[in-house]
Amino acid sequence: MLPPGVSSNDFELALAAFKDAVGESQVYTSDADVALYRDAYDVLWGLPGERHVSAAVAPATVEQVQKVVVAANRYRIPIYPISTGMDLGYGGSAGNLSGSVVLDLKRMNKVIEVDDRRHFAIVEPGVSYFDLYRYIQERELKVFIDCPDPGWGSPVGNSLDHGVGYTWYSYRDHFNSHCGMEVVLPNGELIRTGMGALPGSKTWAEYRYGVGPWVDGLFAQSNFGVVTKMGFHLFPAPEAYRSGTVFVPKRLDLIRLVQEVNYLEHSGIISQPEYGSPLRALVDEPAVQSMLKKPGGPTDGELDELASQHRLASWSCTLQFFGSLETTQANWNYCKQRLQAAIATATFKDGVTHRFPLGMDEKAQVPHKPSLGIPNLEAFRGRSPRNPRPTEGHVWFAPVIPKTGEAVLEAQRALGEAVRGLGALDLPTFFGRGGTAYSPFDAPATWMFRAFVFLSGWSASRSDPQQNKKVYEIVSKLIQVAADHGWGEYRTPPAFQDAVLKAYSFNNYSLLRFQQQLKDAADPNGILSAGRYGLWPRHMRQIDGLWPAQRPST
Amino acid sequence: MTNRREFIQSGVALSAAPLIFDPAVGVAAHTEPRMKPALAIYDHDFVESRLFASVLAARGLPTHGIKGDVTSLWYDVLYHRWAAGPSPIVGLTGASSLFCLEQLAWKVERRVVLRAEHTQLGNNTVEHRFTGPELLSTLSTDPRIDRSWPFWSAAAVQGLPATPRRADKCAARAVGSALPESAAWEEPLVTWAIALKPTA
Repeated sequence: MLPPGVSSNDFELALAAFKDAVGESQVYTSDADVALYRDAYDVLWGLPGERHVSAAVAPATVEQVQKVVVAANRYRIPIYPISTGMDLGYGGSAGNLSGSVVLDLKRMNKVIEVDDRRHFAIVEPGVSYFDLYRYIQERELKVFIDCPDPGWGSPVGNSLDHGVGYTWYSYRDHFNSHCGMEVVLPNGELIRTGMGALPGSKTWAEYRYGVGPWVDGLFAQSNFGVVTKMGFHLFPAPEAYRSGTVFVPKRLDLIRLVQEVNYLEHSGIISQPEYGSPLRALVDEPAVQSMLKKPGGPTDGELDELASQHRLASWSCTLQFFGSLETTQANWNYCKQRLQAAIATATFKDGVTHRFPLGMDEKAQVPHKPSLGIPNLEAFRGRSPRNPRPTEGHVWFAPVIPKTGEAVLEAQRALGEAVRGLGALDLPTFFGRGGTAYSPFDAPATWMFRAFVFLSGWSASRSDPQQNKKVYEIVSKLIQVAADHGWGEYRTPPAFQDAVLKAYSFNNYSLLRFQQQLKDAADPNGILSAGRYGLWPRHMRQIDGLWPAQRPST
Repeated sequence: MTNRREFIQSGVALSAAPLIFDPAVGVAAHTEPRMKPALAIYDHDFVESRLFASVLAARGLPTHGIKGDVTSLWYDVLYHRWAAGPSPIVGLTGASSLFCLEQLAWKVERRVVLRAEHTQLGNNTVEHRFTGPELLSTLSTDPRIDRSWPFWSAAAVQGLPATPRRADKCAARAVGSALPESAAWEEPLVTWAIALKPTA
């Protein structure tokens, strides 16, 4: 495969320049090697819209990255940088534009610095969460990392895609926790952001803004540069962890529960809260199924009756605490007191406590390791309570909704109705099947500090195009329904990025048009990550000056 | 490692098996040096996988058990082994476990060089889809796979060439019987080998 608009002669010359830059063995062109960069979770797998790469090149140094970028400009080769390329469910390694050459930064895998007195790290993009964790553990440094469920991703790549985690406060928002970048621009020039622009700066990974316009956001979910180093604020290793769960009996108790938990979280008293509904355990019972399938779904009263019959709470919320044993106990006591005053019928259950550092056996027993900053791959194991029927992959639909109980109930109704209307009840999903997606028992994800994400994961297949077609239809519909309600997605796979961006249309796409102006100035040849999150180079914007003529389709 | 109870149980199965594969049977015509796997990976949850490991353990190959998740295998074992040397590994696991290992191996210039996917079809039958070196083509189409496929798997991973070559690829398909002890799988099982990237 050739990059679009590039002659075979120019492509050969570009590959020769890449080999000159990084060495022959680090330029991958064989079918077997290039196939590894396919997005294994692509909902368009094997269909005309699937994105394929033409080659891959793996530099080991900043200078090699600069040489590759300069050569790509010379021959107009579209390149797509990846760090570890493990963004499965949100696009993997394949990029938005078929024919792109992957700039695989896996060999840039140095941990530059970890400081456990000032609590930061500086890493290269090929460093994985496993690598950073190992570095910290081996040196017994007193810091925690915050990682997403799969530990094989890169702190750089994950944060640049606005990835999220599970520990304390804003550490969960990985881009928000970053501090300072080094970036190769599309013309090959090297910049450092924030305090890094000051030669000899002593605070690059401590104070993020420097002076003047802060440009770091341009390099996230975007295509303005190749990030080659990045700093991150780290969570000081706490002495202890504690959890406790609050239960509320009535469906509409969720509204006050969220309000109170917001207060506790935004005040810094609790770590990540985890909402759930004990009623979800009943979802496969025939009586509950018929209740869910009836037009309009069950009423709040019927759901309260169901909870009462089964002596189950309508909602639960597990609160997590970091600190010392004494302070976490005191905070848990305070939470119980405050929640009891707000919801008199609330009940409470003590959870687990840990003292750090954990022993090997204790670590192995932790049910959800990322909550304690321990990277792992358990989300990918074949069978698990969360994923009882493993499939070949999934695409995430991830709308951001307000952090209120009212918004959760409204999203359940609106998105659930869309799922039922599309006949997706039996479609496999990451959490079970379509019938349980956005049911009255579904709870939002709480990775973000100031908003909920109401996630669903739709199973993609490498062998069933009909299933993929249905998933494409469902996610496309959900994007539209969400937009109609004022909810936009925080992250999405390339197959849906144009559709998602289409909803961000305030004042005739004035934001996108501004981004285009910047893009055209910084990357006039449009070589870098064409189309990432809807930002296409000028020569590919045929429709309304915004979108390419060839749109992904099933 | 396989434990004593599993080994004894598998020993019963071994003695009851209609035919035990010898890797030499399938590759007798080839004189090329064979790969020496450093470790055999199995999944405690599948009887086929335990049987596979028992056969290889009996032949002196170190084994490592998982339960779906490969985190500890990767973090505590493979990371160090692959940093130190080639250390080819073989396994019979669920497809999702192999998926993770393949992704991790890819980053350190290793590839899956043998892949035989085993899918339950119902009526106690299993479909085997094989891709691997041509060296194993005789083995991959051997009708004995019908009743003895975990043994076939153990033989196949011992019959690989020491230096897999890309051009060696062959593909085959067979349908055979399931083991009487087999439970339903939620995903295909796969017999596999991971080694340094094949030469051109």
